[in-house]
Amino acid sequence: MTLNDYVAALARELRVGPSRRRRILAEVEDHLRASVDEGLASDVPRDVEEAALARFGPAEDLAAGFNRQWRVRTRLAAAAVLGGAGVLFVSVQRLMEGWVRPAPWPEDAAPAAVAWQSGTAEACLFAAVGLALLALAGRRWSAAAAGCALVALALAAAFVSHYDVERAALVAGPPANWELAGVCVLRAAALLPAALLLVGRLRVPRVLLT
Amino acid sequence: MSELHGHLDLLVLAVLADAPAHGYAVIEELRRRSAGAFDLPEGTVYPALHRLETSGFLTSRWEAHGRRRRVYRLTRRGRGRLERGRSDWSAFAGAVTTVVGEAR
Repeated sequence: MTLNDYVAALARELRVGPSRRRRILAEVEDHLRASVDEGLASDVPRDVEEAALARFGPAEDLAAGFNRQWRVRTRLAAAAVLGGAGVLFVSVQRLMEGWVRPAPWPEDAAPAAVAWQSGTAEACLFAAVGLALLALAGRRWSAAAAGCALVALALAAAFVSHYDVERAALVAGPPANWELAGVCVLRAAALLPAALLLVGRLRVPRVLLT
Repeated sequence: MSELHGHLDLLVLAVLADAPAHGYAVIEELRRRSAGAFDLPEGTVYPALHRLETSGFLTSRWEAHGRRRRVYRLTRRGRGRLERGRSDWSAFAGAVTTVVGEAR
């Protein structure tokens, strides 16, 4: 096996996010090249590449070490998406329709301008929940599923926000600023934890990673 | 060397306490300080470095000194973790030595 074969094998085995993958591969390749260079400079410059790879350990074992950490992060992000979906659902169903201002139309006869947006938001919300459950259950595609779940949740939040704007134009009287601010904070709270976990900016307790 | 894995984080923190270093230098220093006793597969150190960084005990950035390398530094939190780890290890090692080392 050559150094390039080893890095390619590691790339195949890694189940982490794209930026983490790039970093790991760059670090490993740098280490192996330094190790090979040192071997070439030694008194017995034979089979240096093979020796460097043997000292480094199997690509599968190394990938497993990284994958374990990433799986915890991914599952926490998936759980955060589920929680976020709940928060978003409550913010839509309770805040805008009941607590802020009731709609002047019957529940099952909303104007088309708002009905399709709330329907699409609900579909995105269901997709987010489904994908998050998949990320919690799966192994191979869990990072991708958690990422897609977050995208679905963000789309749901976007459609809900658009729905709010359209609805506000149809319901008499503008909502108070504090009401809008409260809704924005709730929606940010729904999205932010999962997004930060997925990009690696939110610290995971050490005990979960070891 | 499997018994070493539970202590790898502490060993890595101890190596980085003296000076920032990249992964290759960390494993070399571990080998040197242990006089070759800690001859781990070199790759083992990288998941540990990433885990310690995720926990906030290390920071890292790419630096180019001829070759572009990811250099790791101990944070203040990492230094505190190292001090606690040293203290725990001393107490543990002392107790084990007392029990195991006693001739009956």
